[in-house]
Amino acid sequence: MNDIANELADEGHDVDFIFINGIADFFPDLLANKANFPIFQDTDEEGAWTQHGGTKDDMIIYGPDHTLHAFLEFGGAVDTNLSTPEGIENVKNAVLEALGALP
Amino acid sequence: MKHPFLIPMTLLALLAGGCETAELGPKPVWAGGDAPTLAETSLPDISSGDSAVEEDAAAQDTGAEATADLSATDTPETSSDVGAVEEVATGDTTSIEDGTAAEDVASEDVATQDSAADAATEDATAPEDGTSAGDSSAEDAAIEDAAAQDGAADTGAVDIASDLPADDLAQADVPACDPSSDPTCAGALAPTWQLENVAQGTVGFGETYGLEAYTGTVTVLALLTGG
Repeated sequence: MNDIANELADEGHDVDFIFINGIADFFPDLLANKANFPIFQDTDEEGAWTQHGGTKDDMIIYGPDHTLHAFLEFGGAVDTNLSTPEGIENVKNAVLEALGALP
Repeated sequence: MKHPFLIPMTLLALLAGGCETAELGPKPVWAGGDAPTLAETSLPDISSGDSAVEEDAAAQDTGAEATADLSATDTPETSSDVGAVEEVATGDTTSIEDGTAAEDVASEDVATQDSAADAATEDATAPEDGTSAGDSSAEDAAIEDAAAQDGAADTGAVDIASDLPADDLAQADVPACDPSSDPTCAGALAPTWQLENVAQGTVGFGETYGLEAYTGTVTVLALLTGG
C-alpha cells in the first residue's frame, strides 16, 4: 500500500490512506509496521467494518465528497492482492479513476 | 263482287296506278318517259362502294375513333365526313338511303356528343382520380405513419423483451443497488463512525475522529488486521 501511496504522491495526487483494524485484533502495532497511515481501532460500540459492509482485506474508495466511489471486495471481480503487480495496478487505477485522472 | 275476285282486282288497280306504299314513299315518276341514267345525273356512283351506308359506317367508325381518341384533330375529320354523308344524304337517292344517312348523321352527332360526354367524363374523373390518388396517398401515408407508430411501439416492446441478452435479463431481475441502504453501493455516503487513531507517528495519533476529517480528498480505506 505504501508503494501505491508514494507513486500517487510523486505524481502530484492528494490521496489519504487509512486503515481500520478489526475488533478482535489487539495488535495494531503490527499493522502500523506495514505503513505510515492512520490506523483506527474498530470497537464493538462503533462496528466500523459493519458500517462499511465489509470484511477483512476489503478496500473502499471514497471520492472528495465522501460518497462511495468503489468497493473492492477481497476475492471479488477485481484482483486487489497487493502481493502481485496486477493487484497493485488495479488498486492504483481505481484510485486514479476516483481522482478523475485515469489515462 | 265476290270475294275470290277482290284481291286480284285490287292488285291490278295498284299496278295500273303506280306502286305506292306508306313505307317506301312515292315512286319517282319521270315525266319525260324513261328514267335518266346515272351518268345523266349529278349523283355519285354509289355502286363503286362509296355508298352512303358505307360512308355512314365509316363515319360511325370515325365517331368511334373520335370517342376513343378524344382528340381535337379527330373531330374536324369527323365533321367533314359528316358533311360528306350529308351531301350524299341530301342527294336524290332513295329515301331509304336518305333515312339511313339522316340516322347516321344523328348517330354521328350522338357519337360526337358521346365523345364530348366521355371527354367530360374523363375530365371529371381525372380530378376524381387525382383526388382519389391523393386520398390514397394520404391514406397510405396515414397507414405508413400508423405502421411506423406501431413499429415504434413494437420496437419498444422488443427492446424490453428481446434485445437484452439472457445474462442481462438475469441481472435485470436482481434489484438495483440502493446506496441509501447498502453501503457497498456506489454513491453511498461514508459512515459516521468515530474511532481512535492508534498509529504512532501519524497525524491525529491518540485522537478519536472519523472520515469527516478527510472530506475534500479521495480517501482509500482498508479493512485490515495486524495479527
